[in-house]
Amino acid sequence: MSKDFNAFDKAIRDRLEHHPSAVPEDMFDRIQSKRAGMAAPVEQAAPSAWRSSGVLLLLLFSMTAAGLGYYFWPSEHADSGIIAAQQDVSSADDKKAFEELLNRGAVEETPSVRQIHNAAASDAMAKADLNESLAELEAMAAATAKTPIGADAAEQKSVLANKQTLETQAYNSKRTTTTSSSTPPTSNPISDSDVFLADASTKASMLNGLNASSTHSSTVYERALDLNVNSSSSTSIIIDGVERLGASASSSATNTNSWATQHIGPTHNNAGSSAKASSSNYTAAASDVFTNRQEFSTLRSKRDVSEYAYNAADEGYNYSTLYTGRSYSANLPLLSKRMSKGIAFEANFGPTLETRAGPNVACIGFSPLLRSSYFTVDVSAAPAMSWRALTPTGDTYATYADQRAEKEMLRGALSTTARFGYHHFSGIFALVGVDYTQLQERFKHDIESEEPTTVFTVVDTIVDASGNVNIVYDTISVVAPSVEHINTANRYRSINVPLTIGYELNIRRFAFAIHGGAELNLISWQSGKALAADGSVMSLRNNDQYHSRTNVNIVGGLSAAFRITPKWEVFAEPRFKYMLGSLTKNSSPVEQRYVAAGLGTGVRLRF
Amino acid sequence: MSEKELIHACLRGDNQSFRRLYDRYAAKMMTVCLRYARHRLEAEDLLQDGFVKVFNNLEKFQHKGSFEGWIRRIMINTALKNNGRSSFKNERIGLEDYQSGSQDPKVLAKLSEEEILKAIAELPEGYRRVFNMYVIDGLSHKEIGEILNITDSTSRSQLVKARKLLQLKIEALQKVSL
Repeated sequence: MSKDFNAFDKAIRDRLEHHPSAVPEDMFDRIQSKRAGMAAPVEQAAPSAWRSSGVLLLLLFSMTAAGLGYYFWPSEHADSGIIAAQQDVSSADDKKAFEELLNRGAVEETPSVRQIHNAAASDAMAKADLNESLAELEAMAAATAKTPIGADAAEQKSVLANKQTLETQAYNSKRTTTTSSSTPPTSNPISDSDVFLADASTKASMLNGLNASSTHSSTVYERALDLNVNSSSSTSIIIDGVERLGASASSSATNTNSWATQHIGPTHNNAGSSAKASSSNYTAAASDVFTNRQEFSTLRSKRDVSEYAYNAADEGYNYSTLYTGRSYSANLPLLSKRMSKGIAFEANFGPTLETRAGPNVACIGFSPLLRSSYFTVDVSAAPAMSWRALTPTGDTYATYADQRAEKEMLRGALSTTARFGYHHFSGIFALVGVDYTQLQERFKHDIESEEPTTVFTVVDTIVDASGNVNIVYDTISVVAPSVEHINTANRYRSINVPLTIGYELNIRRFAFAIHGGAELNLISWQSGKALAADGSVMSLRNNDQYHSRTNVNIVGGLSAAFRITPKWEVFAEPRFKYMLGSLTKNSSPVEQRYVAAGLGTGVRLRF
Repeated sequence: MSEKELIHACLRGDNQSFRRLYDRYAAKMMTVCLRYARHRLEAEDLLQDGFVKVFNNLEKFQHKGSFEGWIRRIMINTALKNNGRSSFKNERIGLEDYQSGSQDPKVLAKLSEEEILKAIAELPEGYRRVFNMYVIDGLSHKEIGEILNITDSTSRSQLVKARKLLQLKIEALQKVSL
């Protein structure tokens, strides 16, 4: 049996081992095309030692930053499983899954998901901004007893009429008891616009019912912002007889009209039109704004905002009135099913398409997908270590270089930097700024001299044989060596313009970055003393052996930032600087170069 | 142009040389891929990936052995990496009652290479791999065990079952041809 099997094996092998099979004609093109599309291998870019140390540094900083973050992160985020899910968002599997949805036709091109995503981001940012204005609004609300709005126009007319009567009575009463010259309150005509007031109120209730989505609150918030923006122009808007939101009459009329058309419905266009009639007619629209704003303001945590946006995604609301741009809408039930399993969702199909929806899409704008490009300004200071290379320019100066190296001890360095940055949403950023660097050394040297410094006067008393006493004065000079101890702090100062580019990775409230580039020296100067080639001591100040402007420096660093508010970050940045050129001129007996590395810490403002 | 010159020309980036190299080996390597793949489309993918690796790693070929053997090994490795070890799970074909071993190898002569390849392709994944590696590519059970992360005895067992099943398929093909 075994023999048969071997014969069988051999027969198969003989038939197939060198048998050619047909190959598709375009196979070679496919191979070359695939090769052309492959990225160049990265692992050959850096020597392994550098790569290892880089990875180690990055790991150390990640751990430190993560530890700090865990300690300072608010509990409402720390216990959120949804946030953990967000970290899976960029996985290849999720992208692949979305691509499959796209291929199956479960995802279609409509203006929605991107807008949901944007709306979620907007809501998140709105939440941050809203916190600032919320106190003002709530105080306003507390100070105001809202006039109840009737269920129908007749009742509302009655309420307003009564209110107007009471106000007039109150004014007249006041007028009779005081000598005030103030004008009476403007009469509010009970007209069709007041009918809108009631209808709009009803609509407001309906909108409140829909308020599980952020559609309207987001929209309303935008409207509220518009109204607030317009408030700078002139008059105020009256809500239920109380000044609530400042607004320009004309601008707000337009806005209200537009808003009513879009969100209350075409049947109430006349309401918006009539709203132009008088400021009181803004009441209803502004009331909706106010109500929804209050509703929105109850979302206290970012997670609430996220779920708010998620609900909107689940219900499939459209944000087309707020945002523009090409985007893709996913089959929302499918998405919501997927999201209900705690899996956030993301797909990035190129520069024109970024799609994302998920339970935690709205953590305040650290993710590059949630926000557009932005600018930064930062200031930082960095204590640093420095290393010096003193290279003789000729063999005759080798000893001199050794002497200087022996007598000048490095005493660290300091660097302060202010930079302006542009951060593209893809994570790439560029920084330009001004840097002041001070390298410090200690120069110790003893100067010995042999000048006569002591004169002794010798008085001898001589008694001769006859008994006479003679006093003889004499002087003796004693040559005693003296030593002058020199101990100075040498400082090499420079002002530079760093130009760097880098890549930033945003993870929740952290941002990790790597950057590098060049630094142009504007001016260099130094102070202190050093040994000259002839053995004397020379002053470094205004020393013509040194350049007043040195060459280009290579700079680079890593950075870990923690966002403490939506705009402010603190960051730590290990950085290095390598001088390409020498501080000294060619005529100098030595070339003097430095490498400095330090840990910068600072604050950064995003805008 | 000799093989060595051709490789050097490829390393200089000469597109024509890539084409010549491809033309020289593509058909043979397609057979290798067909042996390891479940169907032709998969074999084409394997061939494409394999040649991409060959072209991208030409500088690693040290001219110490056969260039064809080097390419063949890349193709086999590409095929093996294409599927995981899970292929060995749940492969119970029901061969226990099949009495075989006396098939005349000459019957193979009546079948075309394409038909034999088709029969091999229809083998379950695990059987197919072991059969190809042992019978055609000449690896030992120990080598197969190391590559596929299975024991030697598993490799032997898979081979026996693969042969049985392949003979069944070949008999069936012969009956159809008769």
